[in-house]
Amino acid sequence: MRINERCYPHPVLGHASDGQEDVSGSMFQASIEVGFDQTAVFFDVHMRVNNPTIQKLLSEQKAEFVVHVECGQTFYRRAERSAEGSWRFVVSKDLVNGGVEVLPVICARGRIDGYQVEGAHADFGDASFAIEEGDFLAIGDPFEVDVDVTFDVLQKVSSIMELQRGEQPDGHPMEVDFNGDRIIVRVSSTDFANFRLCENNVAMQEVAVCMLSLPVLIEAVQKVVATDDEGLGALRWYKVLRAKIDDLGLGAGAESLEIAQHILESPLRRAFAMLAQQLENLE
Amino acid sequence: MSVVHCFPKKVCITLQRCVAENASFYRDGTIESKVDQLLNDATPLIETQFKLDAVRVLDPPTGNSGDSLGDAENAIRLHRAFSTLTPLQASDERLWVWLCHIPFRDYVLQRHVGDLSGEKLVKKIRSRFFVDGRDSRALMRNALARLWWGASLTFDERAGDPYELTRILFFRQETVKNLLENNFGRSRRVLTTVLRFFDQKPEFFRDSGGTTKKVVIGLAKECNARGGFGLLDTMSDRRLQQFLEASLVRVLGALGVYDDDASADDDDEPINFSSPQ
Repeated sequence: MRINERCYPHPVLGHASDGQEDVSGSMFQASIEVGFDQTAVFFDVHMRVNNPTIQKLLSEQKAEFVVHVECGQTFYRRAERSAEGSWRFVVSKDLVNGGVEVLPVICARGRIDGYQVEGAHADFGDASFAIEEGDFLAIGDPFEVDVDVTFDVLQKVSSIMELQRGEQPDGHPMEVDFNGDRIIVRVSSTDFANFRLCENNVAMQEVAVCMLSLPVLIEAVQKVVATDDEGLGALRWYKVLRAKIDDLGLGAGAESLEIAQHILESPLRRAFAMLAQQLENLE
Repeated sequence: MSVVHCFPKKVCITLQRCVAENASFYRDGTIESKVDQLLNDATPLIETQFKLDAVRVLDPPTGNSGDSLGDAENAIRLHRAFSTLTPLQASDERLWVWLCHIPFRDYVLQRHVGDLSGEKLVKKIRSRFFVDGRDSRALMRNALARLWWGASLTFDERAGDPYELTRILFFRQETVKNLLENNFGRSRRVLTTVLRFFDQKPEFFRDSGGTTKKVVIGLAKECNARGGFGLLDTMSDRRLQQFLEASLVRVLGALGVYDDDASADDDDEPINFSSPQ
């Protein structure tokens, strides 16, 4: 949420116009540390206010700390609220993209009649104000968090893989060919037919990713991170995978198993979640 | 079921840059030939994890307004077809630009282009076939993104009809524009409360004349003004409802729909200032 230059109908701590603070002699401090992992953005919030009027309202639960988070590209808009000044909240990376606007404030939790805040500018005189639920009582500095997405959110990783019906008998292990532009995975006729049946079920798709894509991808990653590219460097799958691994920036010490799971965006977590959901639906 | 693709970013940029010179190809439905020229080994189509039966997804409009545009039903169908799309994925223009140019080209032409020509045609192609800008307002102009997002933001899986609010949203175009192109409409709670409020007042929000348009615009202005010094997002449902009631009375009063202007018992005046004498 962007706060443009404006005047409020009541004194707001932290707001100034024409160089004059609405409320002086006290402060509202908001420190918000932002952290990331592959799937989420973490906000560690520490807010503090030393204005006696607002402190009293907070202790009486007539006011609350709020962090307003808004992403212009994904329609994400949430008000994270707390009676305490320190808390953590998490936003899934699936919900935001690019610049995320963050605004720390203290808001009224209900109507407050006759509001007079200690330290109000002399221009307010003896005036008192009727504050409504949601009104700002204190406002911090807004800032923007850039949520970078380092992988292609639309590209199907399996577009570099292709499953084919092999000629091997049932029970024979799957075979993988890394020598074309796509990685070709061959399974027996029965396995191939069963895979096709699973394709239309979201939960089964996730399981299939773990059973088929994950082990193949681990082997492919091993080939990419190996110093000798075995002459595969010109192939499309190799280039796509090389770019993805570089984008992840996991460092030279990362194992193929870890890299492959990052590329497939936590396939185990998604598979178990989908299976659990299916079980819940059955119950 | 066919695989859903998306254009490489480079193709989106090139197509958008060439809208004026390609306008006639859009107009006569042959833009795919131009698209094919841009796709090659270096910039191939990108395969996504989605599949689609395009023929069964969207119906062309049968009229020029309200339900005859088919927006609500099409939004529901598109949302169902892309039910696993995440907001992050749905903010990616490459998907919507491909869908508008290839499987749903005829729908976009019939729904948004019609008989336009000249500069109006170019402008319409730019806004409806592309995502012309970086924020959600640009997404809401794209012919297909607006349908999916409108359904997504109003979908309530706990409701008897999960798309009840989607139908209210798309009943009138000014509702979509004034709710989803304003920041407060990004708050799902605020949006759904406003739509339920509209549903409670069919006399003001369901007419086919100009009053509804003015009332919707007026209410959106009230919400924007209120958001200037507080957060609608943190209001309780009851308080939000009270605010909307008071705002409606103010808007109707300003429009002269009510003889008795409501200012006398209005406790929601933006400036609530009392100074003891």
